[in-house]
Amino acid sequence: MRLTSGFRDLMIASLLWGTIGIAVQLAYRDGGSSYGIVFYRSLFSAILSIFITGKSKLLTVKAVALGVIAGIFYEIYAFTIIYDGAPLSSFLLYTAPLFVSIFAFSLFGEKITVTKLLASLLVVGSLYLSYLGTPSILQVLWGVASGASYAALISVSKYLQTKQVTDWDLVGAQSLWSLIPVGLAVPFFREGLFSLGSIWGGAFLCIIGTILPYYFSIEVSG
Amino acid sequence: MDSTIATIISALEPVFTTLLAYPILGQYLTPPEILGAILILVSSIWLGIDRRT
Repeated sequence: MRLTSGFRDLMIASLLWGTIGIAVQLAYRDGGSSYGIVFYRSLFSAILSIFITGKSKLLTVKAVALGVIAGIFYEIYAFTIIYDGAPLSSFLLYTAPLFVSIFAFSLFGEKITVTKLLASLLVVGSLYLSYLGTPSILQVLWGVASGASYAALISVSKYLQTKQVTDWDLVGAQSLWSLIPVGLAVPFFREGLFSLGSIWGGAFLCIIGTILPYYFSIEVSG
Repeated sequence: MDSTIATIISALEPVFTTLLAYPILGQYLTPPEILGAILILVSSIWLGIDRRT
């Protein structure tokens, strides 16, 4: 029995993403807010993306579209964490594999199999064990919107890879152009925006929660 | 790797978060959370097995 080569990279990416929840809780203690952390994450990532990606690769319609999808996902998830709470938002985010099955089939004909559907449902059921509550319809809708927007980001990234867009260009495009939707929401989420927690939380998420893990995960899904 | 399988394996993220929360934040895992973490780990490894060999 051997594990696929991509499994190790995805484990590393998941471990790095797993530190996000810890960092966010510590950032909250320093006055940070969900939206503030997302804002600085996008801002710092956008600055870095200019150095890691060629300017010509960033100034395309595909790059802008991917970045806007990423920004919409960051915002929906940040709001869902506030509205649903951490355990429920985390569990509903992982309705994403179900949406990825549908999007990937529609965009590039990836097969939908019984195994994948069963495993997707198993993940959702397993994460429900961390929540064990009864959410309202609106809470479910926001959570499912997080899962669907996350799935859209994954599926469109993979679709662009089939169009010869490189891994680092994908990371750069997401980082730079996600600033558009995230920046537009500033007037609505000012609380905690200028706190130390939001700034260091955003810097942590930029490096440990965005650039490094997305590189590992994008490389695997290619 | 298939994008759906990659997304399922990345569901290990909340598992790592709860494992890290114990030493860093002093937050304990409840029995249902332990069961959920084991189920996600098992399903990820199951999907991660290379069936070509």
